Amino acid sequence: MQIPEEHKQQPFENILPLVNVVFLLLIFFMLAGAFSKPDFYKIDVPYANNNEVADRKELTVVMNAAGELAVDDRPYTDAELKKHLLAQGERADSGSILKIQLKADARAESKRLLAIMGLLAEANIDSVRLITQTQ
Amino acid sequence: MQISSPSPKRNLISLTPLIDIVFILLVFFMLASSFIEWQFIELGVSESETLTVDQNHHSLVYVGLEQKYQLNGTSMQLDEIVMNVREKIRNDLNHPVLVQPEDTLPLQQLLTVLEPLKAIAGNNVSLATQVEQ
Repeated sequence: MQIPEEHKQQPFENILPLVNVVFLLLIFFMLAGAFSKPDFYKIDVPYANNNEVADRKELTVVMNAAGELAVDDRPYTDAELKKHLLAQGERADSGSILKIQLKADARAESKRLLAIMGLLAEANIDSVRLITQTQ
Repeated sequence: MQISSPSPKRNLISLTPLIDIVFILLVFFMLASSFIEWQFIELGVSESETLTVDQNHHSLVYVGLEQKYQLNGTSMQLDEIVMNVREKIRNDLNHPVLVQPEDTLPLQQLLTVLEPLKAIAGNNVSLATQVEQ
């Protein structure tokens, strides 16, 4: 009796589907994901079901649960922030309005939020976008 | 003269380093990319710390701790307040709505009130610190 000879597989034949899937996953994560810098403080963003999507490129002031402020990679006191925003406003074109996003912790006190909004008003900013996330 | 036929064996480039790099790239993109889509609620900034409120022309919504709400000094449920404000907006599109939160009220609880009010009154909703009636 003659036993049929086994088909010899190429060494990479078995893992080619895996490589294909990994490539597809890589392309998905490259295209669909967005890079973002970690915030200076750890923030639990409050939940709300509004539909306006925030722009990651706008100037974002971060406020933690204790009410401490940070912009980009450094902490700011209230007075420093006001000075920084006034300087930013002067640097911007005269016609454009400086837009501010406030990324505040869900546990932060309302009194602190109102104090910061007063501070923004003093820095000639008339509206602030409070960052939220959908549930 | 006999010409030797070329060997059928192909010289493949080894796939192993390529797969390694693709795996590393995949892990990097999985960890570094973020899929959270931030949204926002626009809040008007008022310069004056003290506002004088005329109850006939303003809706003053007080938000206290433990879901205590008042509309112009009268305790109500949130949905009643929303209905009242909606009625006033229907009569006057520019009817101002002031939201006065308790000092220690967490932001998340303030947003549960701001969200439905912003949905009906839009930019007429603003936050108030000290209110004189």
